[in-house]
Amino acid sequence: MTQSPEHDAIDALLRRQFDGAVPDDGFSDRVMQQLPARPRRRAWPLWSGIAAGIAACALSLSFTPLVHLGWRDWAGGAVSPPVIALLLAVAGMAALAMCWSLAEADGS
Amino acid sequence: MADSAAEARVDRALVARVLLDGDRRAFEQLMRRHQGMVRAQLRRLLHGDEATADDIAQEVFLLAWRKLDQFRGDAAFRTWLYRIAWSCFLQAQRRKTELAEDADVIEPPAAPAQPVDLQLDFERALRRLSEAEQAVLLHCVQLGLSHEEAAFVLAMPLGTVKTHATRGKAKLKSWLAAWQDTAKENPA
Repeated sequence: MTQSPEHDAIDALLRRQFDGAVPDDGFSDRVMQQLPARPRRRAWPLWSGIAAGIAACALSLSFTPLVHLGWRDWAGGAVSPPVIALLLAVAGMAALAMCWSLAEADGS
Repeated sequence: MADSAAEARVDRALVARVLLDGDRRAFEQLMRRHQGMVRAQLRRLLHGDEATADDIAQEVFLLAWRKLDQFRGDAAFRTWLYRIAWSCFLQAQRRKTELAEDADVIEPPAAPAQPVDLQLDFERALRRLSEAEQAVLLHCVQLGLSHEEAAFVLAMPLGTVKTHATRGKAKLKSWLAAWQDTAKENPA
């Protein structure tokens, strides 16, 4: 984006008129003395949520024949539709976990 | 550009240390890196009232310490601090207005509707702009933020920021041109 020379001149005047960063002069030390203790983040709600999610997932899957059939065929070395469905579900969950980890790593 | 990216990485690393370990020294480093510009921002907003600006700046860093887990890294850390400083400034202004109302004090008019006089210098011309135009020019030109960053700090739509910037500069240009013309006609 280009500006007119008049606006450039106004910008230059504005910058010249700005004093810039203020020297510390003990400001940071004064604030540090007033800093309260940082509240610790509680981890139990996260882990409780994960445990509850896993339990709910296991409970709902235990009533479907797909998992039993898939597991039986997989153990028998057969590549049946239940085995493929099971593998796709596992691959999907792994992909989601990977995306989540990458997003968290990027944000930190 | 590369420098600002490196600066942003250092800020993010320091923030991560504070969040993971509650590292006070990392926060102190963050503060030492940014206090100068935050205090400069507040001094400009308060027209040079250094004591009040430093009180608000202290409030800003105490708030930043408490709310650091809300910094997601979408904006630069300094922009996030400017935003906190801007909202603390607005709160302080509201408190001041309430106190003035309670005391029945009437503020003098900010700017006369008269044409620009000979004594008008750049600082006075700047103060004749609306509060929003002054704030936008401070953040966009003097603090060096992009229009998008200024919109984030001031919680204004991007279009409004651009309009205030253009309008503010146009006003300054016309006032200063009028002053220049009069000064040429009446040399001291």
